[in-house]
Amino acid sequence: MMTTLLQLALNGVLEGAVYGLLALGLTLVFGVMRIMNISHGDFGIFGAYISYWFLVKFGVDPFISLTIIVPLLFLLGLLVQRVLISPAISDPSLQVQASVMITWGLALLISNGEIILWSPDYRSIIVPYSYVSFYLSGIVINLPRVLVLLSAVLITGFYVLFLRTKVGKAISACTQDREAAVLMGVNFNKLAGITFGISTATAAISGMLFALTHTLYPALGFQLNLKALTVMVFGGIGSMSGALIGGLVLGMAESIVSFFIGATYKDLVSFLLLVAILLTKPTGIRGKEFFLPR
Amino acid sequence: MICALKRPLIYYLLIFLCFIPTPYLAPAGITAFIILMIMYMVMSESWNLLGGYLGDLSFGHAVFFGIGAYTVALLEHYGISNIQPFNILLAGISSMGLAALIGYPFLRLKGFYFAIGTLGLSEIFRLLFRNSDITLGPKGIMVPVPLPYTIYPYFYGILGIAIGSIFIIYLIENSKLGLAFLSIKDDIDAARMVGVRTTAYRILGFSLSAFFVGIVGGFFAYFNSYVHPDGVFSMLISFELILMVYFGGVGTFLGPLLGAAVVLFAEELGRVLIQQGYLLLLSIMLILTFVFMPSGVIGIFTRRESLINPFKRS
Repeated sequence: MMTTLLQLALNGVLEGAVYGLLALGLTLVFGVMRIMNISHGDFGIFGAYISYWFLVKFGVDPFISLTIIVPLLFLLGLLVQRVLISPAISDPSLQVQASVMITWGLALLISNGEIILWSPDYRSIIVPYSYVSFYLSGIVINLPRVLVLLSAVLITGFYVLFLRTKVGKAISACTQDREAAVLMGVNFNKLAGITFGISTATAAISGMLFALTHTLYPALGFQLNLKALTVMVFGGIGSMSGALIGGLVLGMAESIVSFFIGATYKDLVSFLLLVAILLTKPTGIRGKEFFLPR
Repeated sequence: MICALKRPLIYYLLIFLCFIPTPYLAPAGITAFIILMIMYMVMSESWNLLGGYLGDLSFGHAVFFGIGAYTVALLEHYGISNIQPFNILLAGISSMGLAALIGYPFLRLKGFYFAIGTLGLSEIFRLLFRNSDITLGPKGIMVPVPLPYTIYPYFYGILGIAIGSIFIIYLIENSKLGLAFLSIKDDIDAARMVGVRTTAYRILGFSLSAFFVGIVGGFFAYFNSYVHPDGVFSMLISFELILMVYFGGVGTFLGPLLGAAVVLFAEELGRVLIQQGYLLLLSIMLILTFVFMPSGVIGIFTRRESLINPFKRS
C-alpha cells in the first residue's frame, strides 16, 4: 500500500511538472498584459509537432531540436502579439472578450492547421530511451518522465534567474503596476511582445515534454490549455510559485483519482478543481488581491 | 407595446416569413441546413441577451443546449412522456432551472473568471454525462422518430419556436427589463445605487438566456434523433454562438441573426473545401472580426459605436 501511494505521488509529481510549466507561461502573460491566453496549449502542441517532425524526418533528438524550436516559437509569439493581440486589446473595455476570443481563434487555427498538416492521427515521439525504466524497491520510474521533471526544474530555475535581469525586472514591475512601470521608462509594447514570445517558447518546451510521455494529437492542445488554466487559477493568477504548486497538486490529484476512482474521471478532476476554487477563493492559493475580477 | 414594434422587428418578421415555403421549394439537404440555421439564430439571439445586454460573457452555453437535448432524450428513452411540444418545453424549463441554480454562485464571478468558470462547466457536464450510466454514457441515446418521416413538422416546429422566442427576446430587450440589463452592463455599482436589483436581474437574464437555448436543444434531440455527450456539450457550440454574435454585432438585434447565417454558411463551406480542418475558416473569421471590426457587421453599417462594452464595469 505504501509503495502504491509513493508510486502515485511520484507519478503525480512527474505529470504535474508539465502542467506547472505550462501555467508558468500563462501566468506570466496574464500578469503583464491582463489577457487570458486560450491558445497557450496549442502553441505547446505545435512545438511538439515540430519536434516530432524533426525526429521523423531527420532523426534529431527532441531535446536537441529544442534549440531550433524555442527561438522559432519565440518569434512566432512575438509576431502574434504584435499583429493580432495588441491591436485587438487596444480598447480596454473590450479586453476580456477580445483577448479570450482571439486566442481561442488562434487555438482553433493552430489545431486545425495541425490537422491539415499532420492529419488527426495519434502519434508518439519514440526515442531510444523511451522505454527505459528503473526499479527502486517496487517503484517504477520511467526515464523520459525523469528527464521531463529535470527539464521542468531547469526551466523554472531559468525563469527565476531571468526575473533578475533587466527585462525580467520590467516584467515584474508591469505585473505589479503597469502605469508606474511605464512612467519609469518601460517600453510596454516591446515588453508585452517579449513576454508573449517567452510564454509561447516555454509552452513549446512543455508541449514537447508532454508529448515525450503521451500520445500526440491536434485536439490535445485545447485539453492541455484547460488544465493549465485550472492550474493558473488554482495557484492564483499572476503568481509563479502558485502555478508550480498548482501543477503539482493537479498532477497528484489526477493520479490519485485515476487509481482509486477510475481513469475516466481523471479529466473531471481538473474542472471540478477549477470551479471549486473559483467559487470559494477566486484569488487562488497564492493570488494577490489586485487580480480580483473587476 | 406598439412603440416596441420598430424597424428591426419588421425586418426579422420578414426574414422568417421568407422561410415559410422553404421545405416545398428546396431539396431536403438545404432544408435541413436552414433548420440548423434557424436553431443557431435563436441560440445566438439568446446568447446576445446575456452577453450583449447584461454583459456577462458565457463561454459555456453548450451546457444548456446539452441539458435541453438530454432532457428530451431521457424523457423519451425512459418512456416518461412522448408528447413532443411538452417535452421541448420541459427541456427549456430544466435548462432554466439549472441556470438559476448555478447562476447564484457563478454570477458572483465577473469578467475573466466568469468566462473560465463557464468554460470549465461545459466540460464538467460533458464528462459527467459521458460517464454516467443513467444517460447510457458514451453510447448516447437514440430518440425515436415519429413515422412516417417527413421534414415538414421539424421545419415548421423550429420556425414556430424561432418566431415565438425571438419575439419574446425582442420584447425583453425593449422593455423595462432590458433597460435594467443595460444599466447593469454599463455600471453595476451605479445600477445598484439607483435601485436595480442587480443579482436578481443577472440570475433572471442568465436563466432566460438558458431557457431558449434549452428549448432549441430539446428540438435538436428530436431533429437529430440521437444525442451524444460529446456532440451536445461540445465547446464548439459555445464557440460558434460567440462568433455569430460578435460577427453580426454584439448588443444589436439583427446582428446575431445575420451572424448565425454567415457563420453557419462559412462552416459548411469549410466542410466542403478543407474537410478535416474545417474550423480553419471560422477561426480566421473570428480573428479578423476582433482585429478589424469589434462592433460587427451591423456596427460597420450603422457607423456608430454599437453597444460594444459588455465588460465596462470599472
